[in-house]
Amino acid sequence: MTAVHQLLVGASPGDAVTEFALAIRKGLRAAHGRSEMYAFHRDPVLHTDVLPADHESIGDHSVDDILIYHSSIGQPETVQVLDAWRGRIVMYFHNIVPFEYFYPYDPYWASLLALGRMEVTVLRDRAVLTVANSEYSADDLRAVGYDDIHIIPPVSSLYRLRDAVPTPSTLVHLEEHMTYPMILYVGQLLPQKRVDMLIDALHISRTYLGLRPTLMLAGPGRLGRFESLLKNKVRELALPGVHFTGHKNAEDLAALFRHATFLVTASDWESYCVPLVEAMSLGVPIIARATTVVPETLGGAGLQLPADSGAALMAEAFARVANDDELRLSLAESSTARFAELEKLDPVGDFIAAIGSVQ
Amino acid sequence: MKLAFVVQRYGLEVAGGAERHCREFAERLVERGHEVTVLTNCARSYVDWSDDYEPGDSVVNGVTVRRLRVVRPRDAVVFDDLNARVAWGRPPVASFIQREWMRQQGPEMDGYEGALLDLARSHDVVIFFTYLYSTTFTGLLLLAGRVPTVLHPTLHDEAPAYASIYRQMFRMPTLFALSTPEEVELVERIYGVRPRHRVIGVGVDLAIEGQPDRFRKQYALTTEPYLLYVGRLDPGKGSDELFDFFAAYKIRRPGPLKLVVLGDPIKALPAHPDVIVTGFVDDEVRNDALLGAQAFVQPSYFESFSMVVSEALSAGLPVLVQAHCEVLAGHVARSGAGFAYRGYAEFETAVDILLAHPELVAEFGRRGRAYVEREYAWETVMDRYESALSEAFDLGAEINVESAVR
Amino acid sequence: MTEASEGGDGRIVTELKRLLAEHQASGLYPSGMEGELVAHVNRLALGPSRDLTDSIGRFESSVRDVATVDFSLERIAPGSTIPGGAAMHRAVGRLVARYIEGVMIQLIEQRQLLVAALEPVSDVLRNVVEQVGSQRQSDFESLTAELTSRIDDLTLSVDQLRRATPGMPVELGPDGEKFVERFRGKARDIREHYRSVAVQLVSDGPVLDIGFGRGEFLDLLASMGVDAFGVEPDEQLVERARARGLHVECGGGLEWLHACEDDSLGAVTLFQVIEHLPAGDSVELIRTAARKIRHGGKLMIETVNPLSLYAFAHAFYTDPTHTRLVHPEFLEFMVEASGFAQSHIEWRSPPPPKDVLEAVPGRDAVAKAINENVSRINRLLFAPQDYLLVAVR
Repeated sequence: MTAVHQLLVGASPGDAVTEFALAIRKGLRAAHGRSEMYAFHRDPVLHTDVLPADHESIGDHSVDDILIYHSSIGQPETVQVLDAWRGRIVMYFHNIVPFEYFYPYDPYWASLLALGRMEVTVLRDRAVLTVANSEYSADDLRAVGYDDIHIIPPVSSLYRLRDAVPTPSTLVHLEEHMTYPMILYVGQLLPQKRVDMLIDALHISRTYLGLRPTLMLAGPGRLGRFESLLKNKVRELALPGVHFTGHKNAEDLAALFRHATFLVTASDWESYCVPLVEAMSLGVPIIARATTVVPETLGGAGLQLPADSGAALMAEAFARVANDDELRLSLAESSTARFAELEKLDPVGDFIAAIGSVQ
Repeated sequence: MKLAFVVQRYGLEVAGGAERHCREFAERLVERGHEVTVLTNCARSYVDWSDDYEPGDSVVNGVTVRRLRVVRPRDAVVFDDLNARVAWGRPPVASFIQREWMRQQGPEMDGYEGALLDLARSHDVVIFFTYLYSTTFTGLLLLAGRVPTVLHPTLHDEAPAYASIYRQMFRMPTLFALSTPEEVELVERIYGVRPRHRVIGVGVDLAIEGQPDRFRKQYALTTEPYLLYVGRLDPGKGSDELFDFFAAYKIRRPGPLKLVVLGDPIKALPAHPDVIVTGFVDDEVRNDALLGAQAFVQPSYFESFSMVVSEALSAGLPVLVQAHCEVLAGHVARSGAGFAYRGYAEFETAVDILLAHPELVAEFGRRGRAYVEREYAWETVMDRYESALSEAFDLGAEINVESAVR
Repeated sequence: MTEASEGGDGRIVTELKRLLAEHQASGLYPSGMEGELVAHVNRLALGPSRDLTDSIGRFESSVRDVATVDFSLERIAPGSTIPGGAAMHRAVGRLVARYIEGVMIQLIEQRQLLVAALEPVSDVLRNVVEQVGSQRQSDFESLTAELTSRIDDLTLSVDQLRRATPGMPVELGPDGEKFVERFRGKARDIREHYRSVAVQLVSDGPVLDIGFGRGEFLDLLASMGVDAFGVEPDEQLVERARARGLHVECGGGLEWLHACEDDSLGAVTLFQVIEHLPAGDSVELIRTAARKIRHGGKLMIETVNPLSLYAFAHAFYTDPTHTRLVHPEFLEFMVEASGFAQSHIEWRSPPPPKDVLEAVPGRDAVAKAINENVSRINRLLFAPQDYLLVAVR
């Protein structure tokens, strides 16, 4: 029986790509297949579970064996490892952030992103199967000559937050100390996510539109210079009500979602936006700029602002949604309805089935 | 000389120290043969800058007044939030936010910049009153280097003064006209600059006449001694503190002493049998009240000159002033005509002494009179002021007005 | 991407756009509001470029300062407002001219070397900044961060050098304590040294001790129950003395003297301080002290004895912060001219006997002649290292 292994650049718990890869491995092993995960960067928690991505540990394999490469960023060693792999390759494209967003803050990170795009082009002829995380990402692949692309979102657990018990003390804290509306952003604080625009919109809605809002920015910084830029921006706008929570576990996140008036994203670029799915799983209203994959993920849900809208229109949306109970209710319903559609999907099953078709 | 004044409000009905200060100077310069134009707006209240006067030119006591419409009334919701964030916030605040705070503070006037340039073209010196408002901020930035400018900042030690946006503005005027020696120090302390300046002060009417009995009769007073306070009833002016001190004094020293309060209530005082609040009164009633008072009290923490104190001194009253305010303490130190108190204990002692020693009250009265005659007789003040304006004009002589004002 | 399919309700987006346009038109929003906010992010993203220019500016001004520190004999003003003071100055000057000149030459050489070494650095920095200016912003930033820290280091060392020039306070760092112990002696020895002085002040409280150093004299006064108060410019020393419960403040002696009421002090003491001060300051200090000390109170000044060559070799040059020596006669003249009723000099710290030339034994004429010369040489070379001036108001 052929083995199906997976190669990731980085593996860390909670990361959408890692969680999805773990779910696939579980599915394959359940069918008594041999399946390992390899990664160049492994979180210590996964050190025994995920193997290092080098020749020694990958070791012997047959030409029939399959290596699924999860492409999300470049890594100088990737091409070497894939060159040495004599078996077949499946490309799972999670898409790669345009490097321009990172260049001003971290040139090295930016260069890895650029490298990642090159890898995708180089690997085109070796992929026996191509999967993209969204229609939007599939378009990117087609642009560099891929065809016959499967679309499978990297969703391993739709119920992570719905099943989590909100931390009671966090809920109490939010209820007692956060002014209305409590606007929630979930995600890493990265330039392409345009967290700066959220802060600007908060400033406009507070200063001119009579709101006294709270903005919870729930997510790790990852890029120190951008994070301090955001903090300086808040300070220089003398803007009260902005909270940087840092990374939060599922229980705290569940509390934040349950208390939030709405979830917001101003992101310029998403290839698959997990927090949107999480908000929908809990029936939380959403305001989002309809950029890149966002309309595809939301379907008919949420208040979708045009992709070219700026902070001022977003501020108007904040005020409108905060002040209009009926609208908020209908947005919540649209979230729930869209989630019901997503529940019908079985991404892990689909993925394993697709692998089976080439095995 | 042809002189132009720029001020945020102007008119006989306009209350406010700086505005009255500006009008007195303008009118007296006309009396001295100068040609004076005032550029202002139609507002009477700074709370919303709503149009009360007709726009266009008019003549008020010999002074040509040019009024522009206010573009937008002040939006209290917007301004209060920005004010709390910018004026009271922790620096650094981005300068575009500070400029927006300035714009929302107003008054924003229709055609202001054009009217100002017109004025500059046809006048020798342009004089701005009060540092705080956007009239002065935009005006000075527009005219600096084009014509000689004089700024009367009427600065006091208050939170908005520390906004960094003013650091640039305080380096713009050709000459500063300051009210007191303390103001010179304050400018240096806040803005780190010791600009070219003259200490001018404000003149005071030396012949205060009235009928104290008329006032007593009107407010049902017989022979009781009373302390007098003239000014807005506003916690920022110290009126709450004065009320508390007075109420405490009455508990510790029962007796006939009253407190008479002349002024509009921004925040009303609680009722007290020995406190008489008259509301706003005209000059006649005020003079009647001044001449009958035992002593004058000025509890304000924020004063840049305090014309009411100089008037009280002129009326021969001893003054009890807030020692936390350097300007007021300076008046008392230079005149020797009263006490600067810090806290209740000193207030109580000062009142005790004044009530027990009529000979001291008389001596304080003499010293106060002598001080204002020496320093603040209108003739003296206006001589100083004229010479300051000529200095500004001479300093600005190198500026080629024709080429600078296009 | 074109206008996205407005899921939810396109009508709401249209309405929001209309509201936005209204708010812009009414003047509620400042013109160009969104542009300002975006420009703000860009400015924040540019980061420390301003700081770099600042740092270079500070560095250059430090270099300029070093270059303009003017060491010359002419700068030691011979003028004096006291009758006869100038003549006294010149006399003292002649006496120590050779030594001072020697120091001066070395200092000037040192300064020239330093400036020569530093000036090209700022040229290089300016050049780097200009070149980098044409590169991509990101490269520029990592470079600037590094440069900024390097320039700060350099500025720091320039500052240290500047402070090490005579008359400037010197940071001795963690070794300061050891330095003082080695060259001024252990605290216990110093206390013994000053005990006889402290005894003279038992009825002269309050005493102001200017430049109390490690506070040994204040300790002594405290043990004798004398009300005393110390000022010292070195914060660390002040902290330590305060921790021992001494009544001390951080600052310059002159400021604190000025802050005292006239006729309020029983005594003012300056031990090993005046040789650190510029001439003008010590004159003003003595005059001010005369006003602040009450009738019958004392001024005590202990300093290095310029009449002792031994002191030169040992005491004076071991401390780089020493500025100038003060001749005892000049000091006596000064205090009397400033209004003190009487004054006298006590000679202190004779060189250890082992260092002094010994008399030859014998009573004959030769021995007598030799011994007379020995004692003359001893007087010249091995005069006591310090002297204490006691002036009574």
